[in-house]
Amino acid sequence: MIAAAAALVSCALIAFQVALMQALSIAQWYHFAGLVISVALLGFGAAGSILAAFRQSLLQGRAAWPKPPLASAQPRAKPGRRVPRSGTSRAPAPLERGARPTAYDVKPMVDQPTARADLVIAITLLLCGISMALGLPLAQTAAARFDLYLLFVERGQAARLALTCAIFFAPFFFGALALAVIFTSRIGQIGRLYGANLLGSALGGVAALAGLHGLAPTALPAALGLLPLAGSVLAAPADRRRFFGVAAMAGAILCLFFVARPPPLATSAYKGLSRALNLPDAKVMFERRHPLGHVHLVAGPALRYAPGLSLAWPEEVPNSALLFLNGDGHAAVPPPGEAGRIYDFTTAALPFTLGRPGSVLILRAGGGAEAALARRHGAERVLVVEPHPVVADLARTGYAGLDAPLDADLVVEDPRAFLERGRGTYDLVLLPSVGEFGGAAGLHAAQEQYLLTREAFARIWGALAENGALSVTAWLDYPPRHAPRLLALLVAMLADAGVADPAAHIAAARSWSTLTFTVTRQALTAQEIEAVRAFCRERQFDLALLPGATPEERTRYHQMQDETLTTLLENLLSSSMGRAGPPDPPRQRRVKDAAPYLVDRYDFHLEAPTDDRPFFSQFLRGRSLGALRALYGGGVLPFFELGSLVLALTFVLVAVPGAALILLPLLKLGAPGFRAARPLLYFAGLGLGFMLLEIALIQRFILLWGHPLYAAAAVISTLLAGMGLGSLFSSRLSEHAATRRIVLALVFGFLLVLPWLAPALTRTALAWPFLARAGTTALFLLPPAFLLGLPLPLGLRAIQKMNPAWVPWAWGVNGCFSVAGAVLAAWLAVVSGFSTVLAAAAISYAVALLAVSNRPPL
Amino acid sequence: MDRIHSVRVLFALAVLCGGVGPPLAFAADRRAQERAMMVEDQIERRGVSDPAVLQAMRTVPRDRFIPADQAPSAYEDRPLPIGFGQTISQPYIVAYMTEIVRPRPGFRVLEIGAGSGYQAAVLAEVGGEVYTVEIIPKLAERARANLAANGYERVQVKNGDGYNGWPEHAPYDAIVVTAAAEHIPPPLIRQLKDGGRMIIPVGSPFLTQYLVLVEKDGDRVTTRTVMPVRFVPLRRAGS
Repeated sequence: MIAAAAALVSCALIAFQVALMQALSIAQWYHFAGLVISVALLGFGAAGSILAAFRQSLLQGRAAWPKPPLASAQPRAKPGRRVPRSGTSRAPAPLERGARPTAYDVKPMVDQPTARADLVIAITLLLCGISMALGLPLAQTAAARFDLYLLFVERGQAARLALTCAIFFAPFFFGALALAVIFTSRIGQIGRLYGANLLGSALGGVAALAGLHGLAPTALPAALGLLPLAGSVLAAPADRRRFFGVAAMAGAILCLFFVARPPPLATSAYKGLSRALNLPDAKVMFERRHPLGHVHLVAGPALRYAPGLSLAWPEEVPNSALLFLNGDGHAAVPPPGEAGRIYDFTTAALPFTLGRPGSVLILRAGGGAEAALARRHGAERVLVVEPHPVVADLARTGYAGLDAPLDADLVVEDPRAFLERGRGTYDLVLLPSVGEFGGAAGLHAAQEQYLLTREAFARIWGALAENGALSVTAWLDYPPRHAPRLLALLVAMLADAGVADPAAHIAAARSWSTLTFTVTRQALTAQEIEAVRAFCRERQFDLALLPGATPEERTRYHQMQDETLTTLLENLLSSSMGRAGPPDPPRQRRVKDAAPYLVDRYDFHLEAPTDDRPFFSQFLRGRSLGALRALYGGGVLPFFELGSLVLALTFVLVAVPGAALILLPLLKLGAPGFRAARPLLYFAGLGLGFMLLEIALIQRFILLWGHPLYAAAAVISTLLAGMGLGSLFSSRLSEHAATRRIVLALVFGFLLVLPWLAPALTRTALAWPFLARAGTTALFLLPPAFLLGLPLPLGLRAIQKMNPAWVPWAWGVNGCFSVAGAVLAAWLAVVSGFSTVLAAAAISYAVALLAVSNRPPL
Repeated sequence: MDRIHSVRVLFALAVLCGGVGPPLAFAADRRAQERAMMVEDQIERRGVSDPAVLQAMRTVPRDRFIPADQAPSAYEDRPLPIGFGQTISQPYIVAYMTEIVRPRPGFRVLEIGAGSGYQAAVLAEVGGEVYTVEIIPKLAERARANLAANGYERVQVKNGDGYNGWPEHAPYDAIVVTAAAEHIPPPLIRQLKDGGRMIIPVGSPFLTQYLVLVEKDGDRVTTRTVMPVRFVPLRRAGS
């Protein structure tokens, strides 16, 4: 019964996390996924600490409870009187060398579950279920509702965010406290119970995805509240079961009420959807929820879309409907027959000047405008790859009657996965535009973009026919970031392909707000160069890059206030000369001199992103903050890169209470001081290492699964399932130091090879069907996860033998370092790449390994 | 009896004037000081030098064009939220946009995106004949009320889609677009006087990254990216 209760609450807690991530992603932006994970872990840490501090009250009530060795041995010292250090005197002696430990080598007197403990478990599970039901409705009240854009503008917003965190903290805290009491009151069964906990958690990932298919993200948390409520009935002492049955029924009614009437989700006023719906007569023509993103199709008389339209466009701009994913703009749906014409007057039409493409591949273009443009220019075969199934359905069926069905073949797949399959070659490959009009305030800084990496572009190059070309448009910004970095990526692609003179393969047209690069597989011919020149002249675009273009042609129609962009583009191109082809030491030296000047000296990151560090939109360097502040004012500085700032804010919000959670119980336990160092390092190493590993794997597996939500569900479920099995098996093992050393050494070894294994695996399996990918994920992760499930229960058993009072504290330390690990992993990945995150995880496990001792404590 | 009553009324007025008048006057002085500091620290320092524009920025009470809860931040160096996902621009952006369209008394200017009415008030303060269009009805109402309450009744406010401009009063010497779209509406180009200027800020709600100046010379329309500040693009070692 108690194991079932543990499994139920664990399942609910994981699924609740995923549901909150999705809800916050819709209401605000995806950044709060990290915050949700951190708040959850904080709940676990706090639960352990509270249990450490109030162990007797929670487990035994006022009845006599055998005082833990340390606490009982440290009476209040009178001034000037030395208190003997007897913390270890009553602890069991370490096993003699060579002695065979038994599986349940723990004190039975501490293992006996008490009625008080079961009562506490039932109450906390009840509170967990109720707080899950009330979480989102409370967070949507005026007092707690916050807006990411206003966090750095209005003083009260940070307090609202803190209140939201506190609201979401409650279910995690109560659920974790129930688990902590379950474990502590039955430490002899820790393997079985921890196993049930992890297996339940593993099911939680799957349950969340299934739930999001059937329920709104706002209704799912309340539905999940039913699980801990059921657990409270199962865990309740026999004589109180009737009472808890009635209480759980009342809680269930509350849950079902919010399932039937979920709270309306107040989206940020600064999201594209909110702003579109503020316009007169704007209407939602279509809406459907999906785990990959809530889809809205909005139409209205004031909605028009013509990115960087030529000033030579002679007519009115027609109305367009707009597609939104989780409230963010995804694509425009122009009216039938208009798209091809008006898009012909944008820089996106540049590649069609090179000739009529027989086949065109369009990556992530569910709106249909690019397909219409390709058809207008006579493309015989147009293939659109759209990752979102609902958007693809809309395209097939004519966008809810607003347009004709998409005039193209449609593949529903992540574009990167499609490229990895390497299916065929194309005369023209069109990529989605990079950046946003006016910039996205750096919202995407911490978002993995696997289509904009050196490895992805190598695949795109491979998908080009012999005379093929690829084209991609960047929104202009100032100081220039997106366009130069895109060029750096294109130049890297050409260098990787062995092209000695990239400048001969690149044409770029610039309007007042967009810049389109077209890269050809063969060097541009004189005829093609002339066609590009004529296109730019007719459309009043400038020749940003073209072999033989004069300085006057570069700013004929759209002058720049300074030469920053021009200088960057020219230098990036010229510095690439000689990077490919046969070794040429003098040329290589020139490159070495030129490239660092640009890439290292510029105030923003411009280097080509890689799969190891796929953060295309992370530009800001710390050293540029002073200059930007002086230029733009400190008040607007946060809006250069909100994504990075949210990471920092998350760290502050969780690190401060996290640190308190470690220190306060230490004081309560009588300041064990130096003797706590080894247990602290052991459990901290496990918590930090596991979270670094988990986050790195999730980020790495986004490539394999095509979406963060699927990657999180797959990785978390597989890891927890493996760890659950490991924990179950741990009851058969001794907690002796040697066992733990071997296990941790194996984990360390796995982490050493993971930086090479993981990329190879993800790239190989990327093109495989769903079931094959799921099987591969399981086969790859289960064995190490099994090992990862061993050290914590073994360590808890070891510390139980040393000093039972330290068990919940150790649990708390583990939880708190997991909190720090979640944020640290996200930050390390952005600034240094996944390999660094994995190296940090390996170091953490190495610290845990070194902290294992034959002598008490631990 | 009437006389006693009159005395009482006069006494009450005197108390009111004595008790409330000085704090109100003090608050007004404080706001004026804040505006003067705003002009000196945020605007002149960044290169805006037109005396008429600077005087307008010193005169127009920005704190009365924003929601009451934002009033304490009225003269800070940043945009402020005004509801409906809209913002009132950073003071120096307002000043720079006003200066760049070369205002002079009697010039006719169209503003697209009235917001709270602040930019229109500044344009009116430098002597412009100002027409402003706001697409969100409640914001249009608020702009009209703010402008009237602060003595800018001559500014004409229309609730409508800025894409279409305001053809009845065209052509304009200048068009100030405060709510930019990712294309420049052809009707606005048509409504711009030959030799006229249109200024468009490009950026996210709380950060104007750059401004685009559109100039019309007969059939030839060109743009120029402008900013009152200059970014030092490439730093050499040791700089």
